[in-house]
Amino acid sequence: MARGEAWSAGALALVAVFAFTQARYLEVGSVTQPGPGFFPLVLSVALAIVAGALFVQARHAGGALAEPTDRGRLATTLVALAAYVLLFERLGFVLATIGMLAFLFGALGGYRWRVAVGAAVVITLAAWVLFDTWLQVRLPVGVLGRW
Amino acid sequence: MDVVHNLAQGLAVSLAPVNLFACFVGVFVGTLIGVLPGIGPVATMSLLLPITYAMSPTASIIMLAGIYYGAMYGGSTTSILANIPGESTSVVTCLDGYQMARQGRAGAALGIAAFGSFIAGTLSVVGITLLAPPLARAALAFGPPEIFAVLLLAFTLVTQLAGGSPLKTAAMALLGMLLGTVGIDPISGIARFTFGTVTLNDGVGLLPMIMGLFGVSEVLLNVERQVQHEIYGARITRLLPSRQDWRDSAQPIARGSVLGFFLGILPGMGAIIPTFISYALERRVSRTPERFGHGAIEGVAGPEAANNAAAGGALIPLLTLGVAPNVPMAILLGAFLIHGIQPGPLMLTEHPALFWGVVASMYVGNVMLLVLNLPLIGLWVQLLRVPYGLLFPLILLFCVIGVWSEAANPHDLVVLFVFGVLGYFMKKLGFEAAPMVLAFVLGRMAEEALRQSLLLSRGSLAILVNRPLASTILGLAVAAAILPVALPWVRARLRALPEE
Repeated sequence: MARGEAWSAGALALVAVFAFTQARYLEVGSVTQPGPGFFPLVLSVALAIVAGALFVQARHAGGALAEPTDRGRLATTLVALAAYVLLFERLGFVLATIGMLAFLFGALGGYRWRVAVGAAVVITLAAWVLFDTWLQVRLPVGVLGRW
Repeated sequence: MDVVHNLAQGLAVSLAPVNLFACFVGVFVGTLIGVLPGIGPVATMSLLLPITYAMSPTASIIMLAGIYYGAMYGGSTTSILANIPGESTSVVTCLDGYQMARQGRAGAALGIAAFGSFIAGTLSVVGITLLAPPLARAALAFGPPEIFAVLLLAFTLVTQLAGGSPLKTAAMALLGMLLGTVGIDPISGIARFTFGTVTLNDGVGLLPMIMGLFGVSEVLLNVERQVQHEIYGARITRLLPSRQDWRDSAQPIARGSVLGFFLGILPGMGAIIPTFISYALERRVSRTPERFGHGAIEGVAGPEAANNAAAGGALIPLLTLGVAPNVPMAILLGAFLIHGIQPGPLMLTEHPALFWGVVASMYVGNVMLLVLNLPLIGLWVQLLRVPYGLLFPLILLFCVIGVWSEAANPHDLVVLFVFGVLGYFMKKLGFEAAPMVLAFVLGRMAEEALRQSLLLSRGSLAILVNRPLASTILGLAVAAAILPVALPWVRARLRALPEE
């Protein structure tokens, strides 16, 4: 049995059940007069059927060989990106970006910390000039405020 | 000889120094924002709209149009180099373009994208020149039932032609359509699956979804594998497409141009859907469909031609009917109105210099784009030599800035993150992202078109078969769904007959 496949079938089934229960709160209507809930309802039922078929298929399939991976690097990147996304507006573009870049350059890129921080500062300021000053994308200023 | 006379008049207008400069600024800025992910032509055109107050109407329109079709050129670059679509119209280019880059063929991919864009762009301007008035009349016959039929045809073509397991493709398509129902229902105005949040009222954002599924997830996979340096450092030999590349790409470019142009004329079609259809078509007609997704140059050439041709086709309803078929055209319409000009059937007679000047400027602009883009290919390819440890944080940075630039909404960044993680698991488990994105876009439009049709017919599904155009297209969709299954079966039966 292919475990990854079975899990994904399960996850899809959960999404289908959830969408089904939510869609029932909406007005469903009929085939000739579909309401807002009609399409979500039909789609969730169809998704549930496909998920079931995927599960059956997974039970008959052999487990795939896992390729060698480095979970630590993946987790580090995920944490850094999550922190960056959450702090982007609160801390502001400049501080959040310097922090994210320096951390990833240093921790995963294999650069010495002094180099990592220096590169992060230069890239962040260049990105600010390019996007905020020239292209008029209003990047968040956060705690630093506008000078 | 009217056409020649008109075009000569237009060329004279477009070659005036002011207009030539406006054209250059337009295509240059367009290429730049096309390369940068997230900042699209819509944002740029609206930002530059106020600047055009001070310019002549002709120069303003030439510049704004240049941004739009220039962005179609630049959009492929980041798709090929980093698997982040520079524009949403270049999503499909990621599939094979990025694989080509990983095999050391980034130059060929970038080159064929530029040439294909040039050829398609020029062909579509020829199309505008010759066909604008009659085509606009044909497009008027397209109501909700016809649009629904076209969407259904597009959908059957694309889902069954996607690679991998059909069940998984179906699952992704359904998931995409379900995601498409999130937000305020366009017909009843009722919020669906928004859980009381304001962000989800407009639905799940297409941009954060695409950036997450294609850009962030790719970074996550690569970081985990740690194999980048060998792949990127090696074997970037030719910068331009070889003769074989040309032979492989000539027909896809021709098909993509025709397809993109005619689909681009249809309201609401935009430039994304033609690229998906072109990709599906190329895979279908290819003798070696298994190469698609693994660096097939046809998968770059066709869709890149299609999006440029669609950008040209979209100008037809605007210039001849005054109807904007998509958002960039709506901004262009705004620019016309600012200068007191109403685009429409009368524009050809009232402002012939403006009309033909804009059309001619697009010939000029396409040449400029090619001259501008070819030397840049060498520069872009050098970017691939940047070590991955330095590159991947920058890719994440560009994804975040790109998403932020669209609406300055912190929740969109969360959506980006969620789809990045989802995309990671999808790739690990062999689920393709493209059918999901397409179903997301098509599903929303198809539901609306079908429900509008039913409102028009007061609840009778017969409206889909009573209208000749709609029923013809529906017939094609049914044929497209049945034939691939039925033909092998029939062939097998025929082969079995003599033995019985």
